Amino acid sequence: MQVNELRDKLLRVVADTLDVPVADVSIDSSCNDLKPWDSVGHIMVMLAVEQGFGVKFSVSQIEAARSVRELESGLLSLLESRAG
Amino acid sequence: MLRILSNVNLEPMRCELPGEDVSFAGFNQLDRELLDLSSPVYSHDVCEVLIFLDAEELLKDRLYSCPEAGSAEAVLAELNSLLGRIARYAQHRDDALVTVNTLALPPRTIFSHIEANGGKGALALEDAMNSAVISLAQELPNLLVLDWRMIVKDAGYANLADDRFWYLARARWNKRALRSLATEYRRIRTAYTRAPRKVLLLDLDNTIWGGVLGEAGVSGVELSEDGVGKAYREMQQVLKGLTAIGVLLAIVSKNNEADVIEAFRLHPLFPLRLEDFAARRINWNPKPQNIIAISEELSLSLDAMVFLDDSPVERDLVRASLPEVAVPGFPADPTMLKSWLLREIVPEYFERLKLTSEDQQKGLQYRANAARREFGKRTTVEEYIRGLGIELSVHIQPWDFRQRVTQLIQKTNQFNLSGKRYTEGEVHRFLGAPDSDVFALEYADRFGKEGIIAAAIVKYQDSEAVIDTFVMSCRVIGRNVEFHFLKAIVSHLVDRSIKTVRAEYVPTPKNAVSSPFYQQAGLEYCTENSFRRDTKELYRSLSDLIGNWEIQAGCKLTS
Repeated sequence: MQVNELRDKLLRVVADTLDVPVADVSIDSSCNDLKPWDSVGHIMVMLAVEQGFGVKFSVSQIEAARSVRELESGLLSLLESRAG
Repeated sequence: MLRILSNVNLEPMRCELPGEDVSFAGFNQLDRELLDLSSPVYSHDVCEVLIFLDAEELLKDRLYSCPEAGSAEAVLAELNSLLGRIARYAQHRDDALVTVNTLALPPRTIFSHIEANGGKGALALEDAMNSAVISLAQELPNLLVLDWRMIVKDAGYANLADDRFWYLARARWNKRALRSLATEYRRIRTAYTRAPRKVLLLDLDNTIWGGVLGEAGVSGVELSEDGVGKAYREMQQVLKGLTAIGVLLAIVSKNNEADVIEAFRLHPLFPLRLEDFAARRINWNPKPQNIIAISEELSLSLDAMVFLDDSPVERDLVRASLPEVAVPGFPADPTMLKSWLLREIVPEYFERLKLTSEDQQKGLQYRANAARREFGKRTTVEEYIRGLGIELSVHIQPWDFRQRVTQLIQKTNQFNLSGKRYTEGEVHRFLGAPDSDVFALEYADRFGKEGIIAAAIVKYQDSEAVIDTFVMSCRVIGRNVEFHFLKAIVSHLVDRSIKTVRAEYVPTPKNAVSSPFYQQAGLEYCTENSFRRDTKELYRSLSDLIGNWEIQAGCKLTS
């Protein structure tokens, strides 16, 4: 999967899970500016991303991923370690 | 609004309930919400409550010490007091639907093999806890039990629980678990509020057996103890099981009927026998036409039917021409048939929460009806009705039949004067209330017992009685038993010194057949679709009417 494709899919998963328009979610969106991304929203997002991409985050990655960009970097490192 | 209460963090379930008006009690606010009459769960916006009990959290650290004397007793005592609070809530809010789950402990504990070898462990405790939950539901008509333990066993505990989110946020259950919980909740809620589908229409070739009968011949059909043939055999066993919960099976197949009869006769391994089918259309007509014919033969509407066929062409044709019939896809791999029926088809279309004796005898009853029709062809209507040897019993406040009465009120479309639908909880209230009476009519004739086939609810306002609900199964339409039933009800009203009877006919898309009933019975038209009559006059009018017909129907009132 290309990085762009991955990013689009990630934005879609986040938007669907939080029930907001995909246009409202960007790579810089975070739990500070997306209202439904509260503590429960965070669990829903992490569960949905894990299911959507077939990965499993570590507890520290779950705690660290407070924006789409952080989420993407965690996701990429998991996918890379699996490829390598 | 649906309100969800739990002793763990269940809020991530929100995204598994799209389109649902749902709110969650704060984590571990279960007890507080149930006890505090000013809490949101008591608000009248809330008409459904799902109480999810996490068994591990109920036990807390005693999971690792439960065989010790006193530990299990303490857990059960706590659970029972919690169930008592839930019961009080359900009684207080008898207009709301309350759902509780069966409990599932993690299957692997320190004691697993000790218990398997006869020692003490957690499994016995899990059983005792579930007995307590199940007995709660038997006492309360508006309380349902969702079988969570079945979900956990089916998918596997390790595939559903996630310790990362448990420690981070006290959310034990993963997306798959929450999705299954939401799906199952929706299914049982539908089963509680709406009648399930009643007829399963089945193709034959490559649907309930492997191969094409017309090409391979009777001996070439695949359905045996060997190899993949067993997949069809086990599928048939599931289908046969469905007849025991009141589902009617019918054949819709393009074949030569004689070949099919021969195939059933010569194949001792077929779990399904030809007699297991309530109707059959085996010919070369278009399937939608055959389905309409079966609908007429069984007097059941198309929206009560599900059609299974391996051919996508036939499925599309039925879907396009009869949109009321449910037409699910069909697995390409026959080894998936059994699991597909059990996991998707049965829970989606035929889920039942309670089994009435009428359900269990439905197949027999429809076959008895076929015999009645044969008998009816030879005589006039009057001779036919007299010859049936009908015996009727009217039950007043039929507590023992309240499930069946509810089922009739929810399912009856044609002979349904007011079109009202009540849940079991509502029927329960009519039974107990001083200003209403519930009546049920039991039917038998020389061909067999039909059980409870009609029901009525009468409300009282001073010296006036209003017939709120009057429903009768379409199986007995045309035998005049509705007049006997009404006469027995009116006789009871005379005894209660009721002066006038009022009734209303509310037209629905399907109840035209019942529109003339009140006028034929002797009620007088007053305003649009509304009828009334002096009670004693109505009784005399009904007596005359029934006397003229000379119908031999012994009608006795039992309370």
